[in-house]
Amino acid sequence: MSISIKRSIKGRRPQFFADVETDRLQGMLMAMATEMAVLYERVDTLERVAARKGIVLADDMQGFEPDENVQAEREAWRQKFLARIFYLYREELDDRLGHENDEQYRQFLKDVGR
Amino acid sequence: MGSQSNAFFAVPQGPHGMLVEADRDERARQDFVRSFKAFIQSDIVPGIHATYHHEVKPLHEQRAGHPPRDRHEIRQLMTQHPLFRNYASLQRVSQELLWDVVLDSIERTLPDLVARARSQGKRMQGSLTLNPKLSLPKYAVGVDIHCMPGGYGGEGGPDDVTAGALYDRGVYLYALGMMGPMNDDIGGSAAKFVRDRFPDFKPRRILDLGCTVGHSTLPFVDAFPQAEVHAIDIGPSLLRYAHARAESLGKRVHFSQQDAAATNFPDGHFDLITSSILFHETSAKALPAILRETWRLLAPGGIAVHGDLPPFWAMDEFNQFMLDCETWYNNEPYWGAMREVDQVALSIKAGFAAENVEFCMAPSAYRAAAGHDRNFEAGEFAPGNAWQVLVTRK
Repeated sequence: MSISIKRSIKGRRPQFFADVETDRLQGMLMAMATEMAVLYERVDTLERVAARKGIVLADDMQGFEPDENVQAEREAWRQKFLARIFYLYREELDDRLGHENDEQYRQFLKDVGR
Repeated sequence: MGSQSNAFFAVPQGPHGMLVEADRDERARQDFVRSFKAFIQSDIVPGIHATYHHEVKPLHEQRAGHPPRDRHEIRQLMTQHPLFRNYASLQRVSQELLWDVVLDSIERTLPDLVARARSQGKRMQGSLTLNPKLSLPKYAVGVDIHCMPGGYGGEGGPDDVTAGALYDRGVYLYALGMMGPMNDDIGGSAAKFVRDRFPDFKPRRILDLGCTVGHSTLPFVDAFPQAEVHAIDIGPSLLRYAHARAESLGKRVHFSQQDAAATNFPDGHFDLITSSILFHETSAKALPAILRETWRLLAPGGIAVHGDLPPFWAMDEFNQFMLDCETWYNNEPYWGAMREVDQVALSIKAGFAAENVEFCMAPSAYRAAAGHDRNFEAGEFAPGNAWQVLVTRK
């Protein structure tokens, strides 16, 4: 019989957004993103093993140990992936970090003679 | 963005005989959650700091004629801001996913973990003493601290090691390796602090309070190889794991299931008593009792050193507010209150002479050695680049 450990956390979960459904959506989104990352790694592993052996074997995939370089490449991919998911926030955060702001943008449009 | 990603601090978790093994997909999930946390820290937290300093704070000053007075007022303002709400929600989600993905591996391999714990335990350089009759303190078992399912007291049967396996791997993912491959930077920094500060000090017996999986205990075994080292916690599953982990690493520690506020050791039994991030997970009622017990257990000339994250007075109001998010969103009900407590006054009340109580900062020993010296902002990691140490001498 498979083992099942209780996963719920004691206490009421804090609500972050005006609508609790939004909180749930964010949790679901990130759970989905996690699974997408898992799939990405599966395919990545598949391709690497296939390239190495010319044939796809389940045992080869299970035994595949990413070396330091592969781990670094995967880390870089994950950071890009996360940046894409948060593209809506990136613009707002960039503004606040002074990379660009509304004021500059309005000035730019003025300068180019909209 | 992301130029200084905390993911670059990542080092593989140090191997030992008890680490839960992840299969291919489980490892991908763990790696993703760790990357997710690193992304929040490197790419979202700086924007939240900027939002406050360049937008929320100036706007409040304009309206009210003064800057926000304290972290509570900052909190009222920031929780209205959509970017902050999103940040806080993401932190919570990442924390929930962190435990959840590790539990996959534990559920799949628990019989193997239990068997490993049994066989490691047979080496018996140290010892393990459980006390099923111990009444576990309510403040500790009534809360799933830092959202860890099951909490510290979790016990799934007579040989269970789930809480230990979950904590050990979870803390590693949480810290992104910034506490070193063995998660031991707090104990390691405190042990180094004691050795540097008191070079002639040769403790015969050492006690670690609230040791969880013994990760912070072991640096004291290394720092004081002649000493007899004891470590206590309340959770039986944690202690079985801690004992097997220490044995697998060839470290001699005597683990026992005890409440740090009332142990069964004789008066004056220890020359050195330590704790690592115990205080912020301890209720306001328990903390004075633990300090009194520390006083009772120390031999004359003995030293106690308690490591934790820095107190609020060591950082500005906005960092206080960011650090305090743990209290509100991460099931850390004692976190904020503890950081306001006067630990020096409490120590004096517990029996220590005022001139023998000091509050110091111990630089991170791991990050100094690894060349990762840099000051963190709250929300990235423990603010600054040092741990607080409360040093009390008898």
